[in-house]
Amino acid sequence: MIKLVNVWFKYVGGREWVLKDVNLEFRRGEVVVLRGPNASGKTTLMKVASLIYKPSKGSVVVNDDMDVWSRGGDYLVKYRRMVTYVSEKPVMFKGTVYDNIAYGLTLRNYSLSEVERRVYEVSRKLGIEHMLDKDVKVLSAGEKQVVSLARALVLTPAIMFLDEPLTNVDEDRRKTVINALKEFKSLGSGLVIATHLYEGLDEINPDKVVILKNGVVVKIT
Amino acid sequence: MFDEVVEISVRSILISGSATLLASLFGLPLAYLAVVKAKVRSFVPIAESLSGMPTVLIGLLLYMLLSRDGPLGFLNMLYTPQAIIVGQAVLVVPLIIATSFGALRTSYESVGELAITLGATDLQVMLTVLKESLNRVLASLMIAFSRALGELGIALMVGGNIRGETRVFSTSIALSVAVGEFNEAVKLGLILLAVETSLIVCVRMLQGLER
Amino acid sequence: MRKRVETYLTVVFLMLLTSLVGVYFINLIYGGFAKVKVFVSTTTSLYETGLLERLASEFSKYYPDVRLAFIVVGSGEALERASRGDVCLVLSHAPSLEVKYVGEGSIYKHVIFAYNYFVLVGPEEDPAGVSKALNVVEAFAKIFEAGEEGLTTFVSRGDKSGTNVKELQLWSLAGLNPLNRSWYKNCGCGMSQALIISNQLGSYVLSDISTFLKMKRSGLIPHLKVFFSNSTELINVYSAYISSKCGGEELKHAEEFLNFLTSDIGQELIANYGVEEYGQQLFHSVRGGEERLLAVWEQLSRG
Repeated sequence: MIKLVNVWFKYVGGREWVLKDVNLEFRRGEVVVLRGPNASGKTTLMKVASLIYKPSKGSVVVNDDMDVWSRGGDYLVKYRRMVTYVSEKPVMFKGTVYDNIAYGLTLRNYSLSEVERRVYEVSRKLGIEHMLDKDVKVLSAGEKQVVSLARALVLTPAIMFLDEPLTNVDEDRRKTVINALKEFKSLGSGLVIATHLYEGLDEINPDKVVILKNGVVVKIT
Repeated sequence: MFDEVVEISVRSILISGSATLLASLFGLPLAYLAVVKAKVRSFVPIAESLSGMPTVLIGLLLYMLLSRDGPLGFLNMLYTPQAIIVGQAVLVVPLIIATSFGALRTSYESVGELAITLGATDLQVMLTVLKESLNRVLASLMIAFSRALGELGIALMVGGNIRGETRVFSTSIALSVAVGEFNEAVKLGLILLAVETSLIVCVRMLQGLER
Repeated sequence: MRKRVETYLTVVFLMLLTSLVGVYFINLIYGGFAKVKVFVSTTTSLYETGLLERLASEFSKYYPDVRLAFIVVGSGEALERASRGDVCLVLSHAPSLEVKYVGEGSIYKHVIFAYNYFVLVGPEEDPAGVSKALNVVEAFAKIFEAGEEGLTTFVSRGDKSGTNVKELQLWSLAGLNPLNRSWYKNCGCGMSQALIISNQLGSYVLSDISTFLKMKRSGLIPHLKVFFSNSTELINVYSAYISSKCGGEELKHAEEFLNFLTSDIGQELIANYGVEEYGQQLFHSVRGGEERLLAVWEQLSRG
């Protein structure tokens, strides 16, 4: 469980507060949809909650332990490995689709055979098995988005943060992606989805909808 | 004569190559540090201005350090290739910082952040960023190498241009000019150009193979 | 991942090591094996003719274990390096600078081992009419006059070299101060460049004989000719000193080289060097003229 307590955030050198006094909780097995106009702070909020950005004020608490950022780097990496953020514009590492999906597993020192097993498993679920040997340079935007989702799913995080996960994904693939997310949730993991698109996502049945405006949480339903 | 040209070429490349490697051991981590820690980023503009320092000045300062009665005189390094290596490394560290900072920063902001989301430790992030920006980092190292190979002041001051020991391209050309052997100087200059061009082509080809 | 850092560092270190060993080997091959090295700073005009290399190779026949390492710079820098103890032996031709270092005790054992003459050269057309002058001091006065009238220019090395020091002395002997005159070009450069500039501008310039002959032969200064040479005012004295910070084996061998310079063999080499090539003597032996040369040196050292 991740808890944001009185979180304020401002970029280095920036003037405006991007997040103002945010208090939120994200749990395992729960689906949260984050909504709000552009530049309302959705992305920043997700990056703070997934322990990438350090809040300017306030604290981020994982599993009712103390503030993550007040502890050493080892703790930070340990907790970061429990959550995963998937950005809206997919960034790829140089190499093949396989290399990209395997990246996080390699960081965690899994054996080669285990890495291979997991990569194939997640690729099958998302229907991208056939492109594992392709160089990422030749992929379409939609394909890249699915690969970056696979790259996160393969790590089976406790909570996964998805930033506009369906923007570039075409109709026929959308179904597969949503099914994969449903299965992910059914295994007891949490999902946080920032989107202005709602269609399709209602199938996942959000437990909570959070509406953000100008960096302030205006409504939780 | 031909024999001496070969000797000078090999020595120059080895000396300036070592200097570039040595400088990259310090310069790249420092540039990376500036990327990661926004607070210390102010040394990047400092490095930018330092990379234009006159080489004779660095040579003179190093000479005074290494001089027999200087603070580092006990090292007995004056008039050795090692002294030139250290001097040229000092010369190109700021250049490496200044030219690789941009590449590392772009790479860090995309790939580095991605690596963090996937659970990389600081060290793993750094290696990923370096790997992804390798082409441009290599280009920056080649610029540094060229600068080291072409500089005169340091090699002259701390190397002494001793025949068979510390004579390199630039000092040899300077001597030829000083004694009025202009043809000799131009010949050496052309060889220097050929050596540099072929090295850079080699590196580019290696990069091409990698991709 | 940690392993990859180690691999990376190992590779870089191995490359570094390889090139260091490479430099070591190439220096062994071309610089010779384990010898005692004597560092000698020397003025360019002695080295450029090849005389020093010739003397060194002859010297090594008698002392095969000694290797002379020449640092070729201007007299000013050569003396400064010696006074700091960074070279053991210094060969210079700027008495007025030398005397300062001797005075402060940083160099000693003054030995005059060769001399030759400076030459006053200028454009063939001789716009200042120096060929009509009776001596070199009068020639300088004529150049001053012509310069003021806008007829000619003069190029000065301006680098505290022996030649530069000599030139300034000749101006003061003529009782003139050319500094800051528009026709007086201070190039801050070496002898070759000064000659080339003079050739281009049609200026007068003071040169040492060896550089002039060398440049003349290579065809780089076709418009310049010699007006004055071989007069007492133009004498150019080459002296050797030992740094007072030098000691041990290096000192012993430096003294050996010093003695070699003034030995019969050394003096003969100096007197005959370049005669075949240039058809005239580049350097003169000091044999028999030691006292006269010392007197000249003392006069020059007063600036």
